Amino acid sequence: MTKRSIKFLLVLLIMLFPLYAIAADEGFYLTISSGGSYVQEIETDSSKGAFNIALNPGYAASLAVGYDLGNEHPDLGRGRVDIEFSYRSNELDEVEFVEAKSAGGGVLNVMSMMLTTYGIPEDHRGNWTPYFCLGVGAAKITLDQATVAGSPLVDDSDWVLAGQVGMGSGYAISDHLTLDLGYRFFATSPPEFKDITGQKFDSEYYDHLFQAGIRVTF
Amino acid sequence: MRQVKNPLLFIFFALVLSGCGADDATRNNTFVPLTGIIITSEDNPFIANLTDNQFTAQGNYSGEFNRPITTEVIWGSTDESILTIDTVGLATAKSPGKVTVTATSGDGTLSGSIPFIVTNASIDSPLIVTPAIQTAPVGVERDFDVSGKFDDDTIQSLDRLATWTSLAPTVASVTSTGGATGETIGTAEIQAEWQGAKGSALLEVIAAELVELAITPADAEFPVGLIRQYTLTGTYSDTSTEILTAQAVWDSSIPSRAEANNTAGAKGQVEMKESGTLDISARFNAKEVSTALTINNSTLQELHILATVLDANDGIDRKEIITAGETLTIYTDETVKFTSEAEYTDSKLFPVTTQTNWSSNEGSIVSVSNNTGFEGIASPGIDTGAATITAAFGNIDDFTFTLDVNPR
Repeated sequence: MTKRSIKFLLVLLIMLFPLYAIAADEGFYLTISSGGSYVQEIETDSSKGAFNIALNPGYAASLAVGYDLGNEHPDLGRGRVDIEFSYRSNELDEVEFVEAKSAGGGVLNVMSMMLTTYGIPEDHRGNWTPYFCLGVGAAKITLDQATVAGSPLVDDSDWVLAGQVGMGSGYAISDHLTLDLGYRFFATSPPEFKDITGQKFDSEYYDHLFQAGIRVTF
Repeated sequence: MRQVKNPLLFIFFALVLSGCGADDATRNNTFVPLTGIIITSEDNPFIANLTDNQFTAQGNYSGEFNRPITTEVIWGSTDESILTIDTVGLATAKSPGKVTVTATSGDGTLSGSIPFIVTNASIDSPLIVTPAIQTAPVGVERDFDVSGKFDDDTIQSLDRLATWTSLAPTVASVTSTGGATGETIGTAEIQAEWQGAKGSALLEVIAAELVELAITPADAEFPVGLIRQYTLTGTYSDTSTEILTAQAVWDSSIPSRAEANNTAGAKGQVEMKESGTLDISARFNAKEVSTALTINNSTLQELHILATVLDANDGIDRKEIITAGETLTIYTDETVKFTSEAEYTDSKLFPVTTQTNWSSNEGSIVSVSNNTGFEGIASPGIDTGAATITAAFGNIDDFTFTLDVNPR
C-alpha cells in the first residue's frame, strides 16, 4: 500500500467518524479548490443568425483569501467573505449551424475574480458545516482558437460581469483545516466575440461547478 | 451573511437553469470550406432540342454537410450553340449535340461538371395537360402542368415553355405558368401549346367559397349592463363579403359573464353581465371565429338624447340635442327620431337607443315607439298640446323633457 493510499484511507476514516464540533474561530483564511466544470450549451446571436456551441466537461481551479466571522458576531450571524480567483477550462465538443453539427475544436477559458459571501445555518451539528454563498465579480472569457470541423471559427475574448450562487459543506479536519465540498452556479453577462470573418456575435456563459478544496484558517 | 433558510429554492433555481437548452441554429456555416460541387439535372441527362432543363448545384463542405448553391455558382456550357444556361442554372437547348455543363465556385477555385445531350427528337401531339379536370370556386386558382411526348418515346415537362390560353376567358383566366382562376360559374377549357402541339384540360368553376369570417367589434371593451350588437362578416374567394350575423351560431366562452343571443331578430346581441374577460365566437358553415371581450365596472353617468325632426316627407328638418326639462316644439305633420347615448364613468359613450325605454304621458298627443326597428320614433297623435317624454336606461329613469305638438 502506497503512502498516498494510506493518507487517503486516513482522510476517509476521519470523514466516517464525526468528531465533536469544533468551535469556529474568527480570522483570515485561505482556500484552494479544484473541480469539474459543466458549461451549458452556448447559444450565440448575431445579425447573421445564431449558432450553438456545446462544450465538454472541463476543470476548474481557484484560490480564495477571506475572513471568517466565527462565532464572535452573533448580531451578524455565522458567515465569511472572500475574494476568489478562479480559472475554468472546457474544450469545444460540437458547433451547430443550420446545416449540421460539426466537431468543435479549441478551448473556452474563463478567468474570474469574485467577491463572495457565505451564510452558515445556525442549527448544524457535527463537524460538517453547510453553507450557501453568493458572489459578484468580473470574468474574462476567452474562446481560444475555436474551430469548427477543423476550420477557424473564433479566437477572441471579452471582459464581462459575473455572478455566482452556491452551496456546500465544510468538514473540520482540525482547528485550522477544513475540507470544503461545494457546488457553484456561475453566470456572466453576455460576452461579445468577433468570429474570424469579423462578424460580432453575442454569447452566453452558464457553468455548473462541483469542487473540492482545503480551507486553512489562520 | 445571515442564516440561509430555503436551500431548496436555490437547488430548484440551479436545476431549472441547467435544463435550459439552446434553440435551433439559424446561421449558415460559412467557416468550413467548399470542397466539391455536385450538379444534378432536373430530369434525364438529355433533353429534346428547343426544350429546357433546370440544373441544380450542391456544395460539399469538407465532407461535413451539403448545401444548395445553385444561385451562388457560375454556370457554363462548353458549346452555347447547343445549350445555353442562365445564372440560376436554367438551360435551353439550341441545337442537337453533346455538351458539358459546368458550375464554378464564386472564387473560381472549384468546379463541378456533368455531360449533357440535346437530342433531335420532335414533339408528338397532343400535349398532356394534367390534371385533366379540376374544380375551383370563383376566385380560386388551380395549377395545371403540361408535358410532351417526343418521337423517341421520352416525356418531358413543358411547364416553362408552353403558352396557356383559356378558351372561355369569362369563366376562367389562366396565367403564363398554367395557373387557372375561376371568374364565373361554368366550365372552361384550359389549353397549352408548344411548337404547334396542343393539349387541354377542364376547369369547372363553382360558386365562390367562404374563406374567412370576421367579428366586429373586435377585441372590444364594454361596461357591465350594456347590450351590444356583434356582426359576423364572411369574405369569399371572389373577395366579396356578406353579413352573416343572422345565420351564425353565437357563443360566449363564459355565459355567466356575457350572454350571446341566438334568438331570431336578436342574433349576435351580447349582454355584459359581470366584469372580466372572455371570448365571443360565431360559427357558420363549419367555420368559427372568435374575438376577445373585456367587461369593465364603469358605471352609467349620463344619458345624452338627440332629436332628429323629420318633415311630412320624412326629410330631416333639424337636429337638436335635448337636455332634461327642455321643451321641443314640432308640428302635427312632423315626426321625431330620438337617439340616446350613454356616458360612463370612464368617459366612453355608447349608443343605447334600442335599450332605452321610451314613454309619453299623453298618448293622444304623441307616442314613442319601443318596437324593434322603430325604437325612439315619436309620432303625433290626434290631439295637440304638450306631452312629457321619458327616456329610461339602466339606473337613469328620470330623463324627462316636453314635446309640444302644435297644429300647422
